Amino acid sequence: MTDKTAQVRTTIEVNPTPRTEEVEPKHRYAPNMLPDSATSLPGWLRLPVLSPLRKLRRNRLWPYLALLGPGVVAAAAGDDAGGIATYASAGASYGYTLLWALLVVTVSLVLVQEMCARMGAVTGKGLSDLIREQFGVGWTMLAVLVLFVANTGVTISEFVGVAAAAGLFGIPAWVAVPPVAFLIWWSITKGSYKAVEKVFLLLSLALFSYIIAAFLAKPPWGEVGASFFKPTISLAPADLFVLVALIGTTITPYMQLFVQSGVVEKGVTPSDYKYTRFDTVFGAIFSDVVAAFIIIATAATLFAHHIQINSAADAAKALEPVAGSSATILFAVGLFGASVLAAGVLPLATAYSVTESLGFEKGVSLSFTEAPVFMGLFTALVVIGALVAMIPGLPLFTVLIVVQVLNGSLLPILLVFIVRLASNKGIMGRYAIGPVYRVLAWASVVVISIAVVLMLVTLFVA
Amino acid sequence: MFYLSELIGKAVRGQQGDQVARIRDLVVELLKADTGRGSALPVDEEGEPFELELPVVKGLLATTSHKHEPFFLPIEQIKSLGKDGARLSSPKVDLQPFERREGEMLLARDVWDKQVIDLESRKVVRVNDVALTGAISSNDPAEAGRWWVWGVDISIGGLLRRLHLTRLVHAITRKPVHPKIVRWQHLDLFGSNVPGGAPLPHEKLSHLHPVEIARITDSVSYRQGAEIIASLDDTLAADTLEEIEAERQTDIVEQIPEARAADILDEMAPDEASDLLAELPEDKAGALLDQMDEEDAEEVRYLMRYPEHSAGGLMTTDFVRVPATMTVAQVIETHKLVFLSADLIYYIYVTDSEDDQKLVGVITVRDLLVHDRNHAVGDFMLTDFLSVRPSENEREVARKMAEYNLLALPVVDRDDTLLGVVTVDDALDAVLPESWKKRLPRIFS
Repeated sequence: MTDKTAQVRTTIEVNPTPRTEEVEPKHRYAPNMLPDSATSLPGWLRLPVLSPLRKLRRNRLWPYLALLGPGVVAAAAGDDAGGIATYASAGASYGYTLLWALLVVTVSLVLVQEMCARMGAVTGKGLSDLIREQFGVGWTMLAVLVLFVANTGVTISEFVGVAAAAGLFGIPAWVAVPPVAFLIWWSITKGSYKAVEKVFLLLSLALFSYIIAAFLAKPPWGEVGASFFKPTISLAPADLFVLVALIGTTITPYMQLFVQSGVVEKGVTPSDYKYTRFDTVFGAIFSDVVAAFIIIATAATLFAHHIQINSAADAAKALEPVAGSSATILFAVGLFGASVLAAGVLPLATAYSVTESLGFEKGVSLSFTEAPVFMGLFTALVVIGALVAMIPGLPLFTVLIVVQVLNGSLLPILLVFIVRLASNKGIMGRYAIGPVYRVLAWASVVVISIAVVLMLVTLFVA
Repeated sequence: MFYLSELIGKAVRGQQGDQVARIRDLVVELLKADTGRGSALPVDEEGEPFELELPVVKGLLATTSHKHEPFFLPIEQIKSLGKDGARLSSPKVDLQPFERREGEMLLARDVWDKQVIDLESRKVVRVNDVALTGAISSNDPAEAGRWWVWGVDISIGGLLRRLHLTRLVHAITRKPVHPKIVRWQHLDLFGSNVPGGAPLPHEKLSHLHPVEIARITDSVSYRQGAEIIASLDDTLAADTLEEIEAERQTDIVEQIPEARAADILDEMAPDEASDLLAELPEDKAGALLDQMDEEDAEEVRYLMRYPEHSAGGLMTTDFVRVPATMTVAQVIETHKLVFLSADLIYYIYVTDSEDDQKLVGVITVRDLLVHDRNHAVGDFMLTDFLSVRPSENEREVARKMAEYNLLALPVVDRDDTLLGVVTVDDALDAVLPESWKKRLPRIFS
């Protein structure tokens, strides 16, 4: 580039603006050393209109908001059909007494999600990848099996959520579920899911009305606050059942997978990890704040009037302070949105992680012949979920909660993998979790395991 | 041929058949191409000698029941190795604590379950099992007692073999499960799979097209991607990096030592380099610019001033420019280097003189071929041409190029001073929907 560089060079000599901080720190590396001609640009152009990303890196607060991503999305997905059912019936049947458990579970959730996000940023690999590379084929099969069973359960629960929402409008499941299943399958295989997703995300926002409902119900705030710090443990099978469901729906196995893969796909590295940590911790806490309000709202309305939740219609009653006679519609819309949202992502995420760790071809743009295992798994999960949800006379709300108990029971297996990986210096280097963190993480695993074992024992004794 | 999964856990027996220990891992040495061990290499099934450097088995890692720390058994002490385990050749065993040496790998720890690049299908695959081979003609004492890594099995069969389920599945399906072996010579491994790292040569990769290498780096972690990029020569690394998505580019560049990254940036087209640097944190971008070649760095700085989604942000300074007074012969003679390196040479931009950069016309390479060698380019240049301002929106630029079927558009300021050129590939990139460009759909974020 003979002429060009000559041109640029001469101008530098003519106008040797020192490249120092005081010139204008924002454009330190794109200094005002312009060829004469370029100074004739319109004024607004001379001050570069920065792209969103460039702006991000220069501004202190923005990154925190704009990088709100995998952590928040994963955690928000925790408040899905199963979550609503579990929190609502916990509030309706036990009042405020389970709030302390939610607090403990939130701490565990923060730890677990943070470990996964951290692993994603440090290694650039997904959770199932790391398990395969570190623990070998045998353990991978166990982890894959756990994930597959848990995720199949959750997928079913999402379609059950669709059926329940449709039921509130008086639409039978066999009318509502097949088109939804097809829409999900079709939009994902055709690659237009992102657009569809936004619609359902918007619909699911209706569930925030629980927060308003909690305030409008005027609960005794003193008692509510105190119950966060008043552990009550009951060894009755039914009580332990709800406790494990609460754990299982708050710390879902797929969420860990999800948050780690999300961090990897976003291309987060240790150098910008602090934003992701904020996102993850914020997401986990936010999700559980919503959960707490669902419990408070149902406790203040349903528990106070001794109404047990046996159906979606019962759960909707807690929204009556907000929407009055339209409470059912509000609840149905929110439930529908949240369910479809998760029903799309789950089969996809499951197919991804299973094929990834076993080394099969993957990707939604591939055909059945190119990626038989991937497409087969994805399709099978959608079909199974839809079919189960269409079983006539299925006790929908019970299914939702049983799935969460299954999740909770399988969770400890996955947590052991996570904690062992996150504390492995060989993988994590200096980003491995420290001794205090490790103790807390193991404590979470132990506490959750004890709850699960107690539930299983009492279940079989009874 | 036998598989690693058939060896691990099997007994190491003494000469009387008494079990001494169990096999835990196999130590192999990665041979360099130029070691000239041709005579010692075994022959394959067709009787041809192995044409390439297969890793040779150096020894076993084994454990005894009462000693959990694995010890090293040099291959010289092994008489036979196969599905029945290993048999010692001497009555005395020389136990050595194991310490990995440079160029050595543990097959079970460093290769099993790891990702490798299959150069034939040009994809990243996961190793389900490792296939080993011994010398075919074991009559020759020089060749007996040597074993090599033949390739890796990436099939479901390999997975089932690892889980010891082959027989069960065979009994159910009544169909043999065929292995799918990727031969060692078609493999490229990641040094980062070996703890502490192994300096593995990636020279086989450099035969692939930059787009293919980019696709491979897309399907591994950013650290492995950086390993691939760093292993290529500067030009290929630059070409490959240009094919990678912006976010990932920065992740990869941050992993590469600054001096090397600056060398690669020098080789990139200035518009691509400026886009990449703009995405990096300021201090990092500044450090890289400081280490870049001064001329290249200056061009990049110049381009970085323009907003991303404008003609100025899209344009490159890598194009051919001649003064109107030059003759055809002069243009060809004096611009050989530029013709060799510039992004797009079909259009040649004509300025009114060497010093003044006012754009007065455009000629094409076709003109150079057909016009008399002594004609000045100013005599036949096209003076009625299309140009855009640096502030023009990228979509508008692309639309103009599509409408007038152009390969490039000059970017000029108010006084018609030539600032840069937008080429059709960048314009296309700017307007294509995101989802078309993604190689793997994103599902989580």
